[in-house]
Parts: sequence; structure tokens; C-alpha cells
Amino acid sequence: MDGLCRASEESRTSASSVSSLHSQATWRYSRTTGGVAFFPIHPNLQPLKPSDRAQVDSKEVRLPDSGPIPLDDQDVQMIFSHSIQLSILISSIRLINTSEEDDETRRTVLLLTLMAPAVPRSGDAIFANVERVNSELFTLTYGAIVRQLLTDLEEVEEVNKQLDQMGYNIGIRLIDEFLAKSNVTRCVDFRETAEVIAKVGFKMFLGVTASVTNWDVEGTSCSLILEDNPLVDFVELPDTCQGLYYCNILSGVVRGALEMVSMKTEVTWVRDMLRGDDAFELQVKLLKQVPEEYPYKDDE
Amino acid sequence: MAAIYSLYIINKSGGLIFYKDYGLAGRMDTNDSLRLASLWHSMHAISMQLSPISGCTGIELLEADTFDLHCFQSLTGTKFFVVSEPGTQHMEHLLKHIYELYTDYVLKNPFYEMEMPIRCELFDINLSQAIQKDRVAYLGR
Repeated sequence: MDGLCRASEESRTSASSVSSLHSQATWRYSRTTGGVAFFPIHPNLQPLKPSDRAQVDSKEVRLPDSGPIPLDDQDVQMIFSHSIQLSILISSIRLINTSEEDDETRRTVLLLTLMAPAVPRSGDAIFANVERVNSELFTLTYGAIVRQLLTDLEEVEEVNKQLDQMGYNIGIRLIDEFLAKSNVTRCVDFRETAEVIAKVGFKMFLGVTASVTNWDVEGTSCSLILEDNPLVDFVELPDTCQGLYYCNILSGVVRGALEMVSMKTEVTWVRDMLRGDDAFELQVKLLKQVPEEYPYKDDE
Repeated sequence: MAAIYSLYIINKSGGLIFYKDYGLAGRMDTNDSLRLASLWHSMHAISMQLSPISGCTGIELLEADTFDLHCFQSLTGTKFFVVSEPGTQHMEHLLKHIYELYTDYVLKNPFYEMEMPIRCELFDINLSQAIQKDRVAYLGR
């Protein structure tokens, strides 16, 4: 019980302020076992359905695919005082179901979820739920594309450019997928954006997590460091391709994705394991934040 | 029984890229639907400017005597809205789900041109399933 109280202390603090915030949606920041998460306090809390009420009354909540989750008096009171529909809670829990299977964790998640009908999901959770292909197929396909580009374009510089453009085209589409499936909300600043890309974005699409370092003073430039990169699993750069940024598609993806949420960025490789460095380092520099103001200039 | 009358998707510059109507009420011809879409795009923009709350993201629900209009705008600026019978519940979930379908079956289709009208059969199929499922799962309660 104590463990839960500690774990959800942050959420209880937010809970007590829900009523005063009914007029506007406020966004809170919290951490769950699954990683970084952002909990919106939603103004549209709805009354409990009778069947849900019965479950809460009996102090045991059942998820469709697990045993009953016990609740204590404080939990019950909290659920009633916020009277959010349990069905929404349950579907949210299924969304963020992490690999931890113990009831205590689930219960913590349930109570944390009380804050949010649409709970942001961790990169791990999304990665665990998407359909996947053999990673070697992915790696080999990418290798084949790079090889073909080298054959077609001959110039290494041109290949770098082409990979970046391909990445950009992917990024401008992928951002919507990211937003739709991760439920992340608008970031307050560029620092948060970088964290979300590194912890949720990379995990969701590549299965690896990046770390964010080397911030400059203004907070507009940082480095994403990848220790592990599935794209280069079998790759050794020959002498003839020394200028090639093999993973240049990734920088394009980041640039394209950020551009669609009105951030113009410049993304460059600083370190590259294929060139003998100890990690992959991607520098992301924020050039300009285009304000989302009307009227949009159509001819731009 | 509550019902969805129609669904619209507007791109970020206000062009109607998808329109579908369900059922008999509120049926519109192409011109009217285009007009409604651009009208909504502008009203949505104006509502952001007029809102007393800073950081407002625009109208989410318009309630009228004969219909409700639920709108969801993604962070990339694409707007999804449904016109439904007054008092229809759970439309925000439906819109969120439609957004996911859009990312899966429209944006991931390599032959779809961004910002252009959506002509993707897979999207149509999955959409009609979602709408049906919603009728059963949410609206039929």
C-alpha cells in the first residue's frame, strides 16, 4: 500500500487540483514505470456507469485480460470524487500496459490514469504493440537502397543528399503516426521536444533509445546520441565511400517531422560509428520556430 | 438512436480532402460540403483568436438544435470533424481513432500525395468498419 501511495503521490497532488482547473485543460508532467509520460488533466470527466460503480464499490476492478486489481478506501474515494468513466480508464490502461504484470503496478497505472482519458504512451509500449518484420530484412533492405543509390548517382555527396530527402519525405508523414499513436501533447519548449524524440520517437520506430546531451546556452541546439543503431548491423564502409553518411535517412526523418510541427531545424551527423567513432551523434539545431498564426501564407 | 451524419477531413490550408455522409439527414452536394469545410476552417481559426484563454486550440464542439459538430485538430494542423445527432457521445474517441486510420491507411500509402484529396480504398474500408463498430460499441449502449 505504501509503495502505491509513494508511486502515485504525484498524481494525487494533481488530483486535488482537478476541481479548480475545470475551466481549462492543464498539462502535467509525470513519470511512470514505462518512461516519460505526460498526463493531461481532462476537463470532461464523466459520471461512472452503474456497472463500473459496482466494481469500484466492491473494491476490485477487473481488466479484460488480467485478474482483479484491488483498491483501498483512498483509491475508491478518489475514483468517486473524479467520477471518471471506468471504461475509459480500462481502455487507457490497456493502451499503456507495460511489460510489468504485477497488480501493484497495474493499480498504480490505473490511478495515474485517472488523470487522463487519453494517456500518453511510452515508446516501449508502442514498440511492443506494433506489427514488426524481421529486423534483418529491414537492415538489408536499407542496405540495398543505399547500394542502389551509390550505383545510380555515383557521387557520395549526391547519395547523402538523396538519403536526406528520402528521410524528409518519410518524416513529414511519420510525424502524424507518431502523434496519433503516442498521444503526446504539445511540448512546452525545444528541450522537451528533444527528449520526446529521443525517448519516445526513436524507441517507437527504431526500437532503440537515444540520449540527449550537449545543450547550448540558448537551448536551441543539442545532440541525440545513439549507442545502438539497427541500420548498421552488418555494415563496414569501404574506402571508396568514406564521405558517405550511411544513416543520413535518419537526419532527414527528424528534420521532416519537426518541420510539420512548425520547427525548422538543421540536423547533422557529428559522430558516426562507421567512421570509427564510439557512438552515433546527431546534432539537432533549431533554426526557427514558425508561429502557428493565421493567415497562413498560401504561396509559401 | 444517435447517429453520425457526416465526416470531413480538412488539410492544414483549409482544403477539404475527405467527405463522407452517413444516413439521410444533412446530406450535401459537393459544393456545399466544400463551402462548409472552408467555413469551418475559418471559424476555427477565428475562435482561437477570440478565445479568452491563451493557448486555445480552437472549437472542439459546436452544439446546434439539430446537430452537434465535433472537431479534432492534430498538432500538424489537419482537422477531422463529424456532424452528428445532438447529444452523441464519445465522438472525441471516434475522431482520435479516425486520425489513427488516416496515419495508417492514407499517410503510409506511398502513392498518396500529401494535402491532396484522399482516395484510398483501404482507408474507406477501415473507416466504415470503425463507424459501424462505434455505432455498436459506443452509441448502442
